[in-house]
Amino acid sequence: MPRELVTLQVGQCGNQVGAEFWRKLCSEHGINNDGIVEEYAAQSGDRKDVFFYQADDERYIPRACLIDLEPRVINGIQNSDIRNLFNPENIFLSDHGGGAGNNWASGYSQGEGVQEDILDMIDRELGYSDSLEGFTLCHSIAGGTGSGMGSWLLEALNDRYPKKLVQTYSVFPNQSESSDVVVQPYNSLLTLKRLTLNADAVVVLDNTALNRIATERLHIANPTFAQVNSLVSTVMAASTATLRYPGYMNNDLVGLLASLIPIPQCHFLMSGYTPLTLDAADDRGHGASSAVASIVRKTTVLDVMRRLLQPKNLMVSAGARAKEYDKSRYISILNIIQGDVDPTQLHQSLMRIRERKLANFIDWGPASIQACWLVALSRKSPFVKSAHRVSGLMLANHTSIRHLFNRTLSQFDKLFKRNAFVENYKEYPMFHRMVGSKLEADLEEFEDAREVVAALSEEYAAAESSDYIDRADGSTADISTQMASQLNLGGAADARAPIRA
Amino acid sequence: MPHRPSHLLLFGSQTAAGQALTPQQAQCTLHAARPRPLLCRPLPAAPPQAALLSPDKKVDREYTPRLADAIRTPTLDSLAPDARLPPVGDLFAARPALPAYLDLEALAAPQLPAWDFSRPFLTGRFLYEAAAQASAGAGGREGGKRDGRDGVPQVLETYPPHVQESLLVDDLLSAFMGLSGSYVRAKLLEAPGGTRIGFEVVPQGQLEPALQEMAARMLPICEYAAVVQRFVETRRVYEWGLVCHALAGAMRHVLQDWELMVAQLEHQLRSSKLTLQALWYYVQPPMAALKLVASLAAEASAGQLRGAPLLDLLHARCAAAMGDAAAHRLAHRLLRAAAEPYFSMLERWLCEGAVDDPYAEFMLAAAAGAAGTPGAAAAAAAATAAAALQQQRQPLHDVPAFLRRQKGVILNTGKYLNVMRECGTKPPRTLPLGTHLEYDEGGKYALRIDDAHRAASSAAMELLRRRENLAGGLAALKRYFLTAQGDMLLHFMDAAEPELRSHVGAVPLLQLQSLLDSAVRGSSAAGDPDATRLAAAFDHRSILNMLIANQQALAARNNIGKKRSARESFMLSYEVPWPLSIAAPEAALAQYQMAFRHIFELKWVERELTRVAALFQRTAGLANRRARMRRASLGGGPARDDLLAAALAQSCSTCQLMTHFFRQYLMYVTFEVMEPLWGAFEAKLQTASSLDEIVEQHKAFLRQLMKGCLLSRKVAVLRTLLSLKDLAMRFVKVSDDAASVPWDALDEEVEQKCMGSGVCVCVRESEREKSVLGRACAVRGRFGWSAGLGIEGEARSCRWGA
Repeated sequence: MPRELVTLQVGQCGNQVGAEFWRKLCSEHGINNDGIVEEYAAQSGDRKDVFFYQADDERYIPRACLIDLEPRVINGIQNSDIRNLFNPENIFLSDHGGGAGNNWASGYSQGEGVQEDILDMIDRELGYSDSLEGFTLCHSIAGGTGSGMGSWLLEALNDRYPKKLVQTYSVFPNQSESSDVVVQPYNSLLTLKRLTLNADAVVVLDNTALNRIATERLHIANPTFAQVNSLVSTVMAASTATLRYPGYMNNDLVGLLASLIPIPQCHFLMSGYTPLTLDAADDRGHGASSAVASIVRKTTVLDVMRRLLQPKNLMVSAGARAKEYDKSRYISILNIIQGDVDPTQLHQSLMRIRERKLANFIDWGPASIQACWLVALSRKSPFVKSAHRVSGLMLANHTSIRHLFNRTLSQFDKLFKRNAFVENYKEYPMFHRMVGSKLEADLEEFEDAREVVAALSEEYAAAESSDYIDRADGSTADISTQMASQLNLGGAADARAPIRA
Repeated sequence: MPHRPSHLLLFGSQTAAGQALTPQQAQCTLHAARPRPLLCRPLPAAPPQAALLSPDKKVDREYTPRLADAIRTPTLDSLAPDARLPPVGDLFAARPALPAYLDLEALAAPQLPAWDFSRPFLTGRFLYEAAAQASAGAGGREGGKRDGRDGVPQVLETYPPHVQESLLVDDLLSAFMGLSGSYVRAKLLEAPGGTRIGFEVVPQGQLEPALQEMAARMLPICEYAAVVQRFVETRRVYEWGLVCHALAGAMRHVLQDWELMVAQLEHQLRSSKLTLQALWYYVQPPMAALKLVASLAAEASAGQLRGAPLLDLLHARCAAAMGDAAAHRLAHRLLRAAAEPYFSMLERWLCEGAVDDPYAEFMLAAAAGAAGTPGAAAAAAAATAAAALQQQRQPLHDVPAFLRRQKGVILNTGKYLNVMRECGTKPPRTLPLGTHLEYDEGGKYALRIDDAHRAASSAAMELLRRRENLAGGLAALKRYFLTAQGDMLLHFMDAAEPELRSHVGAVPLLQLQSLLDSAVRGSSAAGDPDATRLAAAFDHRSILNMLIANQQALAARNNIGKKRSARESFMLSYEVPWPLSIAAPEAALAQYQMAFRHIFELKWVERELTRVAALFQRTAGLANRRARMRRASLGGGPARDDLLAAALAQSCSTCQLMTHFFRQYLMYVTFEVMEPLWGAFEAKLQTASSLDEIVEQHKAFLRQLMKGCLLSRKVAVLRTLLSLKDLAMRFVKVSDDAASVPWDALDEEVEQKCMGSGVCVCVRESEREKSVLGRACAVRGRFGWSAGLGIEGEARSCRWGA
């Protein structure tokens, strides 16, 4: 009765990343491409059943739903070496196969249209699990299917399974250069609204930064999708390591996330990983194998922790982080250190990092670095040979992520001011209403989404100030103390009484 | 007879010497007027009485230190010819009573036939009867009595002095062998310690005063001989045990020597060469020896001593006689003879781990219902010993003083041998072949015992380490009690949540047990065979009480804790498999359980806080709606919204602070206390050379662990931590209450306000209250947090300071 996680892969990007993720998980758990456990992995003490379930024929089947509106990527998966891994029932392709045409509204409305099928699929997955902890959604926020259908899915999940956690791995578009998708700001903004309101945690994977890491850190001139996706899958696998290899602590997702997110809506997490290698890419012969070797030769806990703080290892674009660098603060950090670690080193490493003041934390948070900085130790998979003794993943809640939103906002404003490309959206029921017999554009959804994202950005900005918590104190302290004195604090009945009345 | 032939051989050389001494030779030696006859050699030759005692007495009289009684050695004192024997207890009763603590039913020793006690001349009781008769005659019917025996004294008086003397000597010689004669008669003396037999030279005044006086000096010898004889005779009874039998055998030898001497003296008498004076000269050395033996017999009888206490007495006497070579030699000989059966039992225990103790004398309790046949008794004894080992409770009889220091070692040696036998391996040879354990003053036996212990211990440890996988077995304890197997615990908490929340009285233990089982099956522990040994249990004491009492859970079967929730009383229990339980005895398990309860409680708090955090997570949308509302400047004044927003923000951040605190504490406990300590302990497990070392290391590990987890004697920090925990739980409760306000209603309200419709007063009211609650919590939480920091720092400093 583990705490299962169901993975939903939506859209082209989501499915590519997802396939890579499953490949990684299989290799870590010693499961071969057909879902059969290798003999050497039979007694390993890991928890395969968080992400897999066993079919009647003892094969391990991923708890995954592959959803796309166009067949290309999923067909690719079905023709690849892991074609037998997935449950064919869990693959959803739209009938017409035309995709969403990079249109958020198209994806969203198509999602609404096929909700019976998809929710059936998810319900079935739910039936296979004893105590589902939540969903993991992989998608990109720029395109049509991942963003539009993903948004719909987020709302639907929230509506249908309100108590389940929803964590997303969202690939943010490459913002530094002009993108092939013109309406990307629209799509991003509309998706960001759902991510803010309907997701519990969003791991931000910035395409810009991923490409930069691939070129700068791994010295690949023209990184392929597979290589970048392999980076993403590494992060995804590492962030779930504590769930899959049970230890003293952090054996559930909600516990991991709760400590990272002190402000409910500020749940956009940056991630970083070191040392990065592309072993998986080598094996399958993509990419230049010689160039992929990492330059890191020796790893210690302190070393890994320090590297994780370096901007160049973060998978969020450096440009966003550099802006107003002095003001930006860490709200919280979670390091998942994998491998052969002497636990006593942890404390010492943290102390040394504190001495050197390598990280700025919010002023209103706990006073000690230990408090904001959570470290989870996890075993490494015994089946994956790694050149490094210690590797680390960082999930950080950092206020500078608001620059990413601001950038999206400004790009959106540029387009929206001129009402550019709005026509594409107007066709869909969300963006028009009938006035008499005539269709009229109703762009309130855009404005609404903009409000939400702007508020989010503000919230992050406010969190940078030291009086975030005490903001309201001056005006209302007397009222609240007065009321507190009148109220019996333990009395549950009192609090509810007015509602009943 | 339970005597062993080997005891009889003890005096072999001396007996041979005695045999070699033909009467002629004896005569020659006596004629040669050597000052001390060869005869006396078997008996320790006491130094001349004057030399021995006078100075001491003089010292006593002239200079009496305050602690004179303590300092003065009783032996020397009691060796004085005129000093009386210590009280003899019920030695002369028809059947001297066995010590009261002896469970005769359990002992089931064979019985001597009844006729053995009914024939006075067989048991030596005739002397007592004669004495009783004489006393009765002397006290009651003196006149009538005198008539019958008148002839003798008159006859004696009529003889010339030298005839009188030889008659008296003749009578004395027979009295020396414990017979009542015509002129030297036994009589009963009522002494405070019990009835005793004294001898007297018949009527005073009939004899030459010189003879009378000389004979009176030798009378104690008769009493000594009588006491020793009686002691030897009575200790034949089986229940007195092997040690007693052996001692009696040794004493019988002394008596035999003595009788041999009496016979030779008689020969001299018959050759009319023995005068009273010469007799006195000859008997002085044996008198001291007999006195020593008789006093031992008297004390043993008065104290009803057997087994180890008897050995103690001998040992003490032996040590006390250290300054007196002859007395010491005799006492040592007796001690060695008496200890012989004890040491052979010890040898069996050390070599085979078997308790061969038919009369319950050995330090280990024999089988409760040992059967009559010796083989079955041994088997049963071994079985119970093994059973007792599992409990780590060894009911001990007294241990002789000279083995007391080795007690634990002896115990463990046999225990390890039993462990090995239980596990089906052949125990190693613990003592070199042909070694025979016996008492010696140098303490060589102690070295042997230590050697045996080392051999057994290292062999047992090899066994545990290799075959029984000691490290793996202990790791199971770590996995479950120190929550290294976190997912199992998590599943259990998930599955048993409603049960854990309700009162302990309302939750059947079986239900928790089945939930625990299912949690084990569902987690990655499913493949672990050790997991089946886990069981759920309740302990109604709080962790503080547990710490203070630090006893077994059984101690507190009261209703004090009935009001607690099941969670607070829940703990795991674990049946440690048999050979491993040596390394992890019950006390260790209790410590593990304490640590488990502590961590379980904190984990629960963490879990609750996480749950609350998830609740707050759901308010994300609300905050945004409010922000939008603020932007649109609709609805109520901004101050109220700010109030709510601030309260929410504070609650959230407080929740996060608390979560952080408890996680940090847990992390500190796990990664900075448990893991390093466990690592060190594991390394020591691999290098430890003996089982004892492992047990010690385990103890040390647990001690440090408890200290690191704040579960040490100093409870101040723990108390603060627990109060913080209570605070957190209150926060959770308040948050739950607040969250049970339907959020949908709030949403609707906000929607309504957005639409510009009227304000629903009730909902607003509740909203405001909630915000205040949140604030109060936040304030408290912050306070708690600052206290928490202190704790954490202190815990760390404890750890690193240690």
